[in-house]
Formats: sequence, structure tokens, C-alpha cells
Amino acid sequence: MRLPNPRTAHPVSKLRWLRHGVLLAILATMLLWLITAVIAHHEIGNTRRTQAAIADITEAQVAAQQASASLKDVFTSGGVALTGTGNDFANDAAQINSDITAAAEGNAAGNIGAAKIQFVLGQLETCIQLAETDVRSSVPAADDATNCLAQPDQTVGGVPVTGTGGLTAALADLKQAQVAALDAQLGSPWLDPWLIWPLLLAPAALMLVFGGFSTGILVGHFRRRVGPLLPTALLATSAAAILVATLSTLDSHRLTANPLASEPIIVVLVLAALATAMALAHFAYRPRLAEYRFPRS
Amino acid sequence: MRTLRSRLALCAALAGLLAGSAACSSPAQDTVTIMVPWSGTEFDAFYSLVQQFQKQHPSIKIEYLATRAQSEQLDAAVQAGHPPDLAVVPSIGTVGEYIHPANGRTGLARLGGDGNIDPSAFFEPFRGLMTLDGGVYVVPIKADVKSLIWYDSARSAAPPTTPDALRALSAERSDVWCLGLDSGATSGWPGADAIADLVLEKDGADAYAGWLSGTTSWSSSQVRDAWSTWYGFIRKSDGDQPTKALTTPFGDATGSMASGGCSYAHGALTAMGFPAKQVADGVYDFASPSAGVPLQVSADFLGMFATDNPGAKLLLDYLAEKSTQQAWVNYPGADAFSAESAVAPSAYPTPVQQRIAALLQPNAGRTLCFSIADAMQPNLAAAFYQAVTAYVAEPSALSLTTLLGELDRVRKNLTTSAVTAAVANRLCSS
Repeated sequence: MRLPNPRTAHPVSKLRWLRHGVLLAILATMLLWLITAVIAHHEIGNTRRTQAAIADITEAQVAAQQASASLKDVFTSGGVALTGTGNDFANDAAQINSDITAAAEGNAAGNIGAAKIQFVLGQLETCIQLAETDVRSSVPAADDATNCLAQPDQTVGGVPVTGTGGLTAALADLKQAQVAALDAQLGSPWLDPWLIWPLLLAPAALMLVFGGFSTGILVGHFRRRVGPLLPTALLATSAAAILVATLSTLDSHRLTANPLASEPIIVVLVLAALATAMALAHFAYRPRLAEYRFPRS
Repeated sequence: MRTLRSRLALCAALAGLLAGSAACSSPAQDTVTIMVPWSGTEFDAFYSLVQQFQKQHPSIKIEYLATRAQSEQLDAAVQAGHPPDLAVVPSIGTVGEYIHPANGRTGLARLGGDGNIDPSAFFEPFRGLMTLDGGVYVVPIKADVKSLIWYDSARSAAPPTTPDALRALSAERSDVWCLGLDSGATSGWPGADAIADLVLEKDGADAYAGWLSGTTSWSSSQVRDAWSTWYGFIRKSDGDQPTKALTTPFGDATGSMASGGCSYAHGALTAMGFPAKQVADGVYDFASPSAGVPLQVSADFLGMFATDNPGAKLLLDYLAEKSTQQAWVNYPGADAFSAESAVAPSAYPTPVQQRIAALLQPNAGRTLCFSIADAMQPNLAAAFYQAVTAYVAEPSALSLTTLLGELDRVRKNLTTSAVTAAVANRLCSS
């Protein structure tokens, strides 16, 4: 594609390209808004699922501590041969299983997270089996099962190595992995106001530059002033961009299920403003371009 | 034409915009998950080796999944479709199931295609057990000799090495054996190893291999006698049952050896829990079965489930290479042994380790038999361990008959795969 030479091109050709530029800038505003709204909506959904998974894991941690205490109570209170591991332990174990299964749906740590979730479920199953074995053994003691539930991570040189302890330690490790994944999600550029604002306002700034050049050509070559249509188009585009950037910034802080930037009323308003801006820009250039028509080459 | 060009320019600008958006996604991190059954000093040694690997490959992050319930954990992970990238397989008898897991899940990857894993670099019987189903799927990264009887050389004379002499000794004193059977999900295995040694000692390698393949039943006189003989060793001469062993962790059993609380302990050096310095100084010594009696050995085999993780293959190759194996056996207190022929006995740091390593050498003239419990299908091995603890808890003759009958039933209910038959054929090597 060949751009007109600014030194030799006819002013009308320049105006035609400037009109393309202005229309493209409005279109870019619309596209960037749609892209940021869709991706940010997706990212917010992901972070909310991860937050829910972390909450589930936290509940599982509490249940694991309760399970350990319940088991100790069963063995210290006597009658273990009759009561077995007891209802409290069974309920706590079921609660852990349910919480981790729910957390798996919001796993944000990829294959590593899936492997850790599987490891935790395996630890839980092992602890339950050990508790039942402890109950059946002729010398009942809950040592194996409580170790399985509560053993801390092994330390090497005083530093704990994750993935080497019991169920509670494995849950803490899983939670840490999900928190790290959540941090990465919150650090997404699509939720970062420092990216959203420049991205959405850049086309409007470009439009301002094109409008300036257009004013120069109109004044310099045609002795005409710029009418109200082009500034209005610029104003409408800037207003739409500022509105969605403001709402996107609010969304990235609030992380609500229904982001404001993609609310139907906002979608209608922004689309209407940008469509109006396009029409205004088109008609702003029309009188000069209609005066001069060149045969197509 | 100009209109067409304008439209093309518009399309190019929009495509650029979308490409820019896509470029904002974050790159994947190179992480390797590895499941191992080790804890304590065994894990420390492994961890130090992996730390060295990470110094060489700082971009690779290692995630550890350490568990004693290796069989249950790995089975569940494979069935769920989320296996670790690398795993020490809980039993050589399970390799067949991990090569072709049910429901089309990801199985063990074939190794050795690029020549990095060469089975001929390893001793028998480990070498033969690496190759299953026509390919190499696992590599032995750590070996051990189980048929050893340990004692405090300052307090006790070397133990006799024949069952009759040991039985006589056990009848004289009530505190001969240091025994701990507690090992979490695998409680009972120290007894299983001792019973396996007694089958080897009395009936030889053929009966031992037949025990795995099914030609020697659990209720047979060979296996039954081994159980009775073992209980004869550990039974207290004063009539008390050795039930304390059920709640004594296997690694703590030798704790009273130094104070004379017990004299002898059966098993591999790694299971003894001796202080490293005292092993190095020769305070603790061992006796091995007399020449001609097969030795029971074991190994930890590492397999790879990852199909598209180059970091996992790098770590596997690293753990199997000679320099790593040498560093492993040199790690203080790890008491590790290598199945690689390139690691000579003289390269081991202590005289005790050198003597054990020499037993593994082909020129030692010993028949080496792989640990039968580590070659069984996990359900059967778990039942074996459970039966050991049940028998110690209630050691009547009727109880033994019932237990062995139940073990026969467990085996009948298991499908004996071609891989199990192949393992039985390669269980012993002379």
C-alpha cells in the first residue's frame, strides 16, 4: 500500500487519508473496549473461581485440624473398639473431601495444581485407612493416622520442603500454589489500570492528532474553519473511552461477578456514542471531499 | 483498487491489534513433579542431589510429592489422569499396569530410546527388571541388600547365620531381636522381608520365584514354615507376645541396641536408623547369610509419566548417571547403594558400605533375588504386610492357617499378568 507523499499529495487526498485515520481510531476504540471487556470479564471470572477454591482449601484445613482432634478424642476417651473412628472424624473427612473436590473446579495452578489436589485426596484416603487400621489393631493408638493428618513438612537445613508432610501440610502447600496462581491472575495486564487507560485513550489521542492535521489543511488550503462535527466526534469518542476505562478500573478492584464495563446499559451507551462519533466524523469531512473527485487510477 | 487496499490496510491494523492482545498471555513455567517414598535422611540425600541438578538447570522447578503410601497415591493419580511427571514405582509388579493404565490414561513413558538409559550398565537382577513388555520403562536409582543381620560389635558377638542357631538363641533370651513393624500405610514390611529371607534360606531361589508366580502357594509347607520360624525368632522366651513391635516404628527399633535392650536386627542398612558416624566407625556391623544362600535385594525404580516435559527426562537421566549415583552413595547417613556397575565397592565411603556393595557384584558369587514383596501386585503386598501385623497380634496356629488361606484367596482374585510372570522369571540371578 502506498501512502500519499505529504509534500506532493493533493490536500484532498490528505484529507481523505485523515478521515480514514479518524474513522479507524474510533473503530479501534470500539475494538479495544470489546477486547478488554471480554478478556477482563474472563480474567475476573477466573480470579473469582480461584478465590472460591482458596476458601474451600481453607475450610478443608480447618476440617483437617478438627479431624485430627476428633481422632485423638476417640482414642483417649476409650471404647474405640465399639465406636470406631467416630462420627466426628467421618464427618470431618467427608467435609475435607467435599471441599477439595470443590476446590478442584477452581484450580488455577494448572497441571501442578491438579497433581497437588490429587496428592491431597490420596493423603486423605490414606489417613482414613490408617485411622481404621489403628482402630482394628490390637494395641489401639492413633499415631499413624494423626501423623498422616498433622505431620509437618520435612526440613532440610532448617527450611521446610513442601510436599513432604501430612495432610495438613499438603493442604497448606496446595493453598500456597493457588494463592500464587491468584497473584498471577491479579497481575494480569487486562486488570491493570496502567495498561487499560493508555490502551483505551490512545485511539482518541490519535484522533486528536488527525483532527489537528485536518484543521491545518482546511485553514491553510481551503480557508475554512473546522465545523462542530469533528470536535463533537472526538468528544464522544473520548467520553466513551474514559467511561469504559473508569468502569474497567473499578471492575479490576471489585472483581464482581457482573463487571460494570460489560453491563448491557453500558454496552448500549458506548456503542451508540461510538457509532455517533463515526457518523459525525464521516460527515465532518464530506463537504470538502465532495467538492473534489478524482478519477480512480 | 484503492478501496481494496484501504480495506486490506484496515484488516491488517485490526489483526495487529488482536495479535498484540494475544501476546499479553504469560509463558508456561518449566516445572517437574516427582513422587518419592522417602523421608528423613533418605529424603535429605535425594534432596541434596536434586539441589545440584537445579543449580545446573535453574529454570526447572521441582515439586516434591513425598509419601509412604506410594502405591495408593500413585494409583489414584494415574487413574485420575494427573500422574506426577516422575515417580518411584511402588512395586516392580505394578509396572505393567502403569505402562497400560485403564481408560486410556497417561502411562509410563518408554525410556532409553535416546541411548541415555542403558540397561547393561546395571547389575542383575535389576537389569532384567528394567525391561518389561519389550521396552525399558523404569530405571533403578537406589539399591539395597535386605538379608543382613545387624549388631553392636562392642556389645554382642556376630550372630549365627543359620535359622536353627538363631532359633536356639531366641529361645534362650527374651530380648534378642530389635523389631519395629510400624511403618504407616505399609506397617508389617520388616516381618515380610524376614519371612522372605527364610524361604530363600531353606528352599532356595526356585521356590522363592514360584511363590511370586503362584506355583508355590501361601499355604504350602515352605511358606508356612518360614512364618512359623520367623515367629519363633521374635517370640519372647518368657511367653510374652512381641506386640510392642506393632507400635514401634521400624527406624526406632534399634534404639535400645546400644544399651543392650536388644541384640540383633534384620534388614537393610537404610532401615536400621543407626547414626552415620557409628556406621562409619564400624560400631555397628552385620552378618550376611552363609555362602550359597541367596541374598534378598531391592531397589527403587524411577519411571516417567510425562510425555512432553523435557525437564523430567533431564532429571531422570541425571539421577541415573554415574556421577549422581556416586554422590548419592557418598551422602553421609544416606546408606545408599547403587545398582550401577560403574560404582565400584571401593568408591563407597565406609568399610561397612564397601562390604555390602561387594555382595552386589557379579563376581561375589552370590545369587541375588529381588524382594518378593516389592515384586508383588500392591494389593497382595499390602495383604502380606497386614497379615504380618495380624499374626504378631494373634499368633495361634489357627490364625496362621487362616491368614495364609486368605492370602491365597487374595492372589487368586488378582489377574496374573504376563508382566508378573516375566518378573518371576527374572526375580533371581546368579
